Amino acid sequence: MRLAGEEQRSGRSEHGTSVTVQVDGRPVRALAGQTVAAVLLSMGQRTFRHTATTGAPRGLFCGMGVCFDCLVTVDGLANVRACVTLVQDGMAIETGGADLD
Amino acid sequence: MAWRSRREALTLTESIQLAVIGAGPAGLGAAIEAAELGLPVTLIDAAPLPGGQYYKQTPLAFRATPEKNGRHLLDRLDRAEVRLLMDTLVWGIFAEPDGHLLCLYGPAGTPRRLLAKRVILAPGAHDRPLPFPGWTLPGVMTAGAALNLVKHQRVLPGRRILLSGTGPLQLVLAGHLIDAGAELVGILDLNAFPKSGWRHLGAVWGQWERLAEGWRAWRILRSAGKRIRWGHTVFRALGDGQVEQAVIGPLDGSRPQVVNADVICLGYGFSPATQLSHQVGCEHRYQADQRATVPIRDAWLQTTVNGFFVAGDGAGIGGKDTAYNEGRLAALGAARSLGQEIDRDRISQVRRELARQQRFANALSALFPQPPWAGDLLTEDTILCRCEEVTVADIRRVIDEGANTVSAIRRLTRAGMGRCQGRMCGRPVGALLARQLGRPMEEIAYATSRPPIMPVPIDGLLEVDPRLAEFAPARDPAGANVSES
Repeated sequence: MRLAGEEQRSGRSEHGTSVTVQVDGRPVRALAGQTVAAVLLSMGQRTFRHTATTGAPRGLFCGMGVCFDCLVTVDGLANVRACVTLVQDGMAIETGGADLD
Repeated sequence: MAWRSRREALTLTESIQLAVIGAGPAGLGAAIEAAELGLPVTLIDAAPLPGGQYYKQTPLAFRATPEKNGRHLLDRLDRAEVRLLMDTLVWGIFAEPDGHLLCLYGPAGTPRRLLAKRVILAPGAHDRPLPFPGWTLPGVMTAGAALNLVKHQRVLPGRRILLSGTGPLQLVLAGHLIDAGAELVGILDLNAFPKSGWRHLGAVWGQWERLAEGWRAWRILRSAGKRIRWGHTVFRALGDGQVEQAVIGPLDGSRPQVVNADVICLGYGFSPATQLSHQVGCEHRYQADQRATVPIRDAWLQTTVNGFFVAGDGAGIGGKDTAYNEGRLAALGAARSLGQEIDRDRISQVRRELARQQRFANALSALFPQPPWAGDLLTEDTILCRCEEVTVADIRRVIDEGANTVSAIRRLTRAGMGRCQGRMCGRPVGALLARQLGRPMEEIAYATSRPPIMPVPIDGLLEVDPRLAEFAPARDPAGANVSES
């Protein structure tokens, strides 16, 4: 089984078309149809944000949109669930921030 | 929500016969059956593609080969007269004299309010959370999350992976992870090895698809030299900022061992999603063998709320085939209650199939019982409510001060008030309360569920009733305004 992570790095894919997203200002190659969470994890990044109350790190947990732990900022919109949001070419993803209410 | 006049409310509302909420196995069964009965039906789901979690569809842009998973049902859906509203959240349901008013949030062009004569709720389930020290560290995730990543996204969640949980889903996940080249540092099953498995042979007879899947996973495990460690669990996740190690061992806490792992997958079964059935006001009861609170239903799967049916895992975990047939039965019940004549053979065929599936479900829950209260894993500083970061100590303190319901604990500590609306902490908080008070779970009421059942942008609420605008705060340019009840 070929993993998308390898395909992303090599730029050759039998899955989706290659797109480029910005992760915290850095260009990252991804595949159309991948979730933001999958792109971050295939980069080896497990911490997606820090909590507002204690600053504790959080990442992907439920993977199906119910726990709201994997929140990131997408194109300036805060509190977006990385696990159910598909990447698009040119998308700007910001991680690490404290969540805002 | 109070309307100034009923007439005004209705002019903005679209009236329909039947709404099916959730497009997993149960919702697909219900919608297809209803369409075949000639009943106009609207199928609503928050995901971009139908299929639910079990028949989850790989995103269109990301398919190397045609999707086979759930194809038999999705092809029938394509051919059926079903109106599909995808990417659409039902965030609240309100009783009206002539039906149920559904409040929707979805893409432009989606109706915002549907008045449905009958509703079949097919909400499914989510992985059952089991709190332990360190379970909020990045790298700890549910078995469902890991399975989604490896199956539908072709991404490994990490390099050294520990599985802890119970039941066949773990086996399936282990098979996929080994196939994808992950290093499994352990497969822990909370339950003891099922020695009396042969007693259930009769119930398993005919479940070839499931047996084949289990057999395939078992063979992958064997050839990789991996064994399941029965009666073992994870006690603690350790790491600076993310998971680096896990403390594992036998359930009794003897001989704890530290293993290196960057991912810990939790597969402790599933919790029925009862937010909407609670919010609507259906009566629920605690079902001990499921260790879950489920809506009370009659022989047609109608709840205690007239015209409101629940089918599938949302009414108790039974798996995809039970869910599909329950969906069909609920559709037959809804059509019958709308005055349609229903073919008796059709009814008895569905009921027979449900009885057969029930035997299999019983065997499975005898082999892999839902984990008991795992309170012994908890330390005082273990977080129970992930959203609001409320610890065991915080909750014990308010119980000592007199809080004796989950709702009271929520008001006093904010546990269950965050974005997930208690989906993750509701049951653990209830279990802690039961233990502290020395009462059975049957006596612990679920926290009140209020709309919106998930965070909805303020705009979404305004679309339902523009008059709400006068109560809305000035819009944040970053779009961060989110309503949380």
